[in-house]
Amino acid sequence: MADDDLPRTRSCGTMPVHERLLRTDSSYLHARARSETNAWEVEAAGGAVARRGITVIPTVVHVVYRTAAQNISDAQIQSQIDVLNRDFRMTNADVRSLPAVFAPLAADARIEFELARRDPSGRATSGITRTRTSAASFSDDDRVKSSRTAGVNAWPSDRYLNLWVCQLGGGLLGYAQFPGGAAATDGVVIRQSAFGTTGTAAAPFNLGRTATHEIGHWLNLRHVWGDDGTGCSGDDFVADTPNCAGSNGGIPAFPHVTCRNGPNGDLFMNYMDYTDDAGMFMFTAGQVARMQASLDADRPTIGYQKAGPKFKIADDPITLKFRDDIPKLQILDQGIPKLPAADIPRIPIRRPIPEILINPVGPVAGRAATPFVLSTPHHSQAWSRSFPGAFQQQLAQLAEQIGQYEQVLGQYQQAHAAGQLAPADVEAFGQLSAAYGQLVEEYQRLAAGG
Amino acid sequence: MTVLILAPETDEHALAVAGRLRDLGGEVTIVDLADFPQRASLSASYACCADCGGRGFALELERGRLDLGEVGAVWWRRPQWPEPSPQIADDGHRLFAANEAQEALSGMWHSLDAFWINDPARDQVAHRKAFQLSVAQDVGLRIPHTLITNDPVRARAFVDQRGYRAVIYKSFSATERDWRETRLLRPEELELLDNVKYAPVIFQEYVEAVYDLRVTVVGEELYAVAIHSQETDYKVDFRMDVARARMEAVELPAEVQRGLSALMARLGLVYGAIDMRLTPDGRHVFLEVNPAGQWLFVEEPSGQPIADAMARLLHARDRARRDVRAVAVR
Repeated sequence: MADDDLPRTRSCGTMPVHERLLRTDSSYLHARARSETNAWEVEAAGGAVARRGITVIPTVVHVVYRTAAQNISDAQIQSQIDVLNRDFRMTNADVRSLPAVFAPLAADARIEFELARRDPSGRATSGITRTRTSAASFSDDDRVKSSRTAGVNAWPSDRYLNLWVCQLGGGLLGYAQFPGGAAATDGVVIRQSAFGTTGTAAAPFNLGRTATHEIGHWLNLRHVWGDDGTGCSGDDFVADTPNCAGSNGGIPAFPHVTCRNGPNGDLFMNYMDYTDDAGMFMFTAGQVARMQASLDADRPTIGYQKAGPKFKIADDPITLKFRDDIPKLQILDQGIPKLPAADIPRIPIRRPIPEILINPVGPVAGRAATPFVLSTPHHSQAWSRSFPGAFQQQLAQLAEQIGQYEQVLGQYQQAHAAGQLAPADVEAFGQLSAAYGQLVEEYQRLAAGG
Repeated sequence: MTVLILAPETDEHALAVAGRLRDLGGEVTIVDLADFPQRASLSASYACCADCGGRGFALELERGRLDLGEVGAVWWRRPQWPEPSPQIADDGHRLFAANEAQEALSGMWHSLDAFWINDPARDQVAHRKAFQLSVAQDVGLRIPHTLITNDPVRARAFVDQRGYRAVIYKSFSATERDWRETRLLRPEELELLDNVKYAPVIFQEYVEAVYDLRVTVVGEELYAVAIHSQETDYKVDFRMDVARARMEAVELPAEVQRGLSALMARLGLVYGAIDMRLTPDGRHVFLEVNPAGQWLFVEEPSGQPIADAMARLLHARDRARRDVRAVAVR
């Protein structure tokens, strides 16, 4: 079926929703204030956030359709996920067309998305729900988010990003709810014709950027022009986006100078402006810090962390200057004891949240102690043959953890080379290096023995 | 009346026994204590005196209400720690919340008028390996020469006396992150013995084995299995290669059976998974008992009906409680 109401200009409903929630939901205001305070503190602290690796966010796509065409294909959904995974990792090809003067601003948001593999009750899922509706179209009033109003309910927003895909009226491409609103309406709504890159996706909004833009809002980003009409006083609370007047539509010519922001003008190539899909292709480092701060403060339980892209033991060894230090990594089970239960050997499961890596506390000199039983290695890897599944899992997890260490150590190395490490940091660096060396040894021993 | 099993809902042993209980016509509920306080709630209410209303204990689960007064038998299979809400950001506050839930639950368990496998208080004490060895010695079971110490000097003396090739060392517990199999002390590890000062270690003479024994005790029933660990890739600790070990049901000498029954009685355990070794000169040496041990891995190869025994015992005792109460009401 032809959609004869295709939007020609970008229109996002996030700010009207924001204003509605400010009026109607008293707790929302408090949550927004908390969120902004935290974002400000993070900025003041030089962008120090807890999740230094890549956060992978389980995503559920709720397709709400009345016509067969609106019941978009799995392929169209996957095309959208693929776009997000390029845009939020700065691996989109078009970022290369960024004017050279803006190139230093572009940054990897370190966020990835995957269709949920488990539903809220733990059952296997495709990460896609499909609901037939009687509604001809929806607006920004959240009716699509409830089965009582011809939509479909959200999955728990502390574990999933909810993406509703439906027919939106009034030329609306999509809208998001900023962090701090009700869980039942938390998520992003996208018009089906602006979702993904195939199927019903229609130019000029057929490159999946509407979702990139709206998820930016969902992670606390404002429009770059500051939502003050065409004035110069509005702020997006991000320091490295130039002040500009109003939104930019279509695909503007560079430079577009407003608000005395010459010679380079507006950063209209930013995902948080209003250009066509082909005209937007970057987040700035300041926006990334704001999104990451929001993950920490507003969405602490969502997603899991995974290793950075480089995992290559052989050709990039880190110098282990402090090899004798045995690290104390207080990663797991802080404070809450586990009951001893199984009498089958417990396969050490590593969870990829090495918080101490992020914030190593000095001084660590002299803290090289390990209980005897743990200071001696395993004498056998026989379990790897008795329990091959657990063994493979262990190897994969070790690899992931090693990748994380490499990422953090890389940052330390850079800071060290630039002379930015205090003595306590240097000690922490050494401790981490030693821990890294042990992990690599353990990995190699496991891989060889298994 | 109903049987209550405290375990994660995916626990294989709990599911096996629950299935058998239903076959027997019994009612059974599996409750995962990790659901507290986020997904389940408890209430213990007490009237001002025994004659003016008494008291009532109930769990509100996602699938409905469970009146604990209706529970006649409880299997303390694998109780989890309460999981505090992730909404609580402060680690100290999280610990506090978990502790409070744990306190409330523990007190309630102790108040129940039900048959327990195993009574939580007895179970906790019986887990202590240092205590098990004392009891085993007292009831006349053979145990390995043992030294538990955090004194490196004494540890060295023990090793020196026995010879490092003949000493194993093991830990009391394991965490998800850190565990070690039971190991024979190696010469190069002697240098590390100073680290004993950071945490006590169990040192024992190494017991040569014809095979390992797993003896599963359920009430009055006792199921012994030979685990041919000496044919596997790791001869010191059968658990390491257990999926590939040959197993078969065996009969224990009456004297050993008596010793094990006495051990269980002294520890106050109804259920226990006991590890022993049969030595080349024919002695049965007790190593340890795990009050929460698994059995499916021996039930399958040996064909012993252990889950069935567990279900029968729980069912019978649940029924018995019902009958007692019926008499009391009359």
